[in-house]
Amino acid sequence: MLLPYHLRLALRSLRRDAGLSITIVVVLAVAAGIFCTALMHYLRTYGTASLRPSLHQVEIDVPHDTLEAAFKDTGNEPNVLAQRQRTSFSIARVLAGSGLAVEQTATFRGRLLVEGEDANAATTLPPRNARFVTADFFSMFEPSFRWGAPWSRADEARGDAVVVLGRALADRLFAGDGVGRQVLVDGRAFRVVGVLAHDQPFAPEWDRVVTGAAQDQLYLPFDEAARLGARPEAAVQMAPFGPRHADLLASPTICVAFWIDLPTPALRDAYAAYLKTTLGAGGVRYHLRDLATLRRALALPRTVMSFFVSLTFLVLVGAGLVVTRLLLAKSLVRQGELSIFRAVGAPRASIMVRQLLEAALLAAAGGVVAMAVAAPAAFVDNRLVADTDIALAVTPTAFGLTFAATVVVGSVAALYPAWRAASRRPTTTLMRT
Amino acid sequence: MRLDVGPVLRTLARQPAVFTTLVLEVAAGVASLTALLLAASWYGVIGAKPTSFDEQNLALVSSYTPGADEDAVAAEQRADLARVRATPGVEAATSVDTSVLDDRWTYPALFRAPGSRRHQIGWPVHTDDEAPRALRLAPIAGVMPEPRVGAGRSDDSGPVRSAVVSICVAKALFGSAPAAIGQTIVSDQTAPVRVSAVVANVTMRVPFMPNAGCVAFLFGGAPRDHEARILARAAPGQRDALVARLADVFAGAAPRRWVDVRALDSDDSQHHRVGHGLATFLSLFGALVGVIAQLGALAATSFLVAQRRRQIGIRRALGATKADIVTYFLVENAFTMFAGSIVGLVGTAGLYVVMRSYFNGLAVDVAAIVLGLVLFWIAALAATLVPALRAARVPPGVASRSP
Repeated sequence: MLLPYHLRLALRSLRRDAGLSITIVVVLAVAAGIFCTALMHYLRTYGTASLRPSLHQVEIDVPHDTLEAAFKDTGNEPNVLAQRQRTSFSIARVLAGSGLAVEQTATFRGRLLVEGEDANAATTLPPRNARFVTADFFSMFEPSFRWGAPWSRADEARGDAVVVLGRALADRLFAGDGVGRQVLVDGRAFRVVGVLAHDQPFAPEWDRVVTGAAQDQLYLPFDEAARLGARPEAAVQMAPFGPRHADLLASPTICVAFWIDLPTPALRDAYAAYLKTTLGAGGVRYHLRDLATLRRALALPRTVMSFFVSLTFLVLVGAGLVVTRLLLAKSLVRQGELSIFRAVGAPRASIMVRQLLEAALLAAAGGVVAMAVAAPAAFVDNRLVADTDIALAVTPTAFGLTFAATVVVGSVAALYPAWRAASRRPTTTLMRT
Repeated sequence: MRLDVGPVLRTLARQPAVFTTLVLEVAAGVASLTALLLAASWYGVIGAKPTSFDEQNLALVSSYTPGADEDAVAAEQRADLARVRATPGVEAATSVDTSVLDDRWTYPALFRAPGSRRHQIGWPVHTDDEAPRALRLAPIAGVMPEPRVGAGRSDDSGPVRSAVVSICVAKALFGSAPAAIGQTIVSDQTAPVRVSAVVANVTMRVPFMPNAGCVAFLFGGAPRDHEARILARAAPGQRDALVARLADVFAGAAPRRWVDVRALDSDDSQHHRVGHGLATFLSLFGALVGVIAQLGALAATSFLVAQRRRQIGIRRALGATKADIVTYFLVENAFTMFAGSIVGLVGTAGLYVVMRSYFNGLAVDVAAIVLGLVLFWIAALAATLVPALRAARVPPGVASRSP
């Protein structure tokens, strides 16, 4: 194999023109860093978690054709549609009593006051997004825990005042592991049983209504909602109801996402039959949709992020053209040396391979150094822009894609200079030099 | 100094591939830089979008009252409103269930006229009869609701009594402001209600949304919530003093309540922070594109100067001055920059068409485009100048030496 030989020569050549090599790396790194930043935004927006395909959601059929048309291409379309793909409190209660041996959770989000156990009343923090879920929520959607664990069905049955904290809130309230300590939620004490390890997805599957919004900061047992008088976010009123919380709970207002895991066709059939008996027989129109179908129905539209990824890729291509120019200049300067190679018998392909290897090495270095631009850019974005509290970060996927794109652009940029360098007739060049 | 473009054109014509690469490189740079600056300009404008309220004289009191006893919560919120209205320096105060400074997640509603297919996206705002005074809502058509006889200065409890819509809602549903008066509107979030007046568009929530200024003020019918907001109007120039007084009033609020008093300054809102943050961020990226162009021009011209050292020596020996040599390189660069800029601007036009589908109401910001071009030219020409000056120092004797 001649590859190690070419690689050695390429590396030697790069060292000889260190200034030019550094310039190429910097040009590619800056452009790739910009591209990577846009890519991080894109991946944060459109990334999906790997979840069990057997997850299903039960939805009450609420007409939304006009709504869909009105919000089309506003970016809010999936959120608005998701508002209507839920159930009411009363129906969620009925569904929870199916008696089938399955995992299921009802969930909605409200805003509550949360304080650490030693909080000073004079420094009360603003209301926080609190999600109400059942114990099964954690095994169904599999958020990873930094400390502790979710509460159990037994805790729930006993009516224990337990809470799981999101990463950001735990950091705010406790310097380290907060498990076992207490937080005050609307003045009531709850014991922390777990702390999540990561931010939630931009489009959380369990409640797509909050796509793009500030994330859930704490998780409370579903039954605590009534005790705390928590008002659901983005409720869709179906009929007038009284001003009291009990009126809301009894009303057909759509505000609760209801999920159930149906891992076998038999279970799905059994559950479908159950829905037919309980809801269908009462004239309630409903849908039972699996995760894949729901994802298709609530697919995020093309947003400005798609545009910025394309635009920053154009910047990377522009940097590739700069690299072409620099490599052309380099081959002009080194035409004498290349001609000697050709004169002593090196085939054109050999010259070309070496040039391409040089470019690929430089591009690879540019792809790595790009992180020196992307990481500070993410840091600045999280502080300067902060359109959501879901932190922008250089993920392995973002790095991998940026690296690959940079190497491809750098290598393609080297094609013409490499071909030109390989095509020169050695005798003519040697006479000139 | 002689400006002889002949040799420059001949050099470029001799290397068409290099010239094309240069032009494409400049074009990509110009197109991406101007598009970034156009987007930055859009975010800057959106971030600075005014609410159309007289913000200099409005204060916002936000509160959260915990507790399962809803009557007690509602009574506390009514007491807050009374406390604000009784504070010296308050000309008027009104409860609202949403404001431009909110950080919670809300959606607009789809307003319809019953029996009609017309619809309009807008923000429902539950408020009370003091809203016209507190917010200085001037009717374009119709009459503003007056505080109910015998009810004194009302709060927002009770059913929805009437609506005041902004002009965009009136036009979309009924064709004109006068035609909307007395008509009924309904939405997926609100009960049917009659329109009593039409006012100018105002921003109550997210200015990024299309139809951000479309609002329906609903008098009464506010859903009960732990959270409440009060907008208080101060006498002209007295807002800061009023904010301080209100902060004192609520300093002794019941423990375990959250009360926040601040000026209604949309510069303090999330949309402002996001808009300006993105504008700054995109401008920084634009500057980095300039850096790429500069580095490319610097390195490539340096190598061209090194390559043409003998040629430069010959020109110097034939009488060319140092200024001629510098001019030669600057003119050569300017030619490619000019051609690249033309192609780049065509690219900008194409990108603008695409951008319009992403950026609601994106304007052709000539200043941003010109700024982008000027920055790009300055960066590239400044980078060319350094090696060009080095070239000018090549002595004529070089012509007689071997390279």
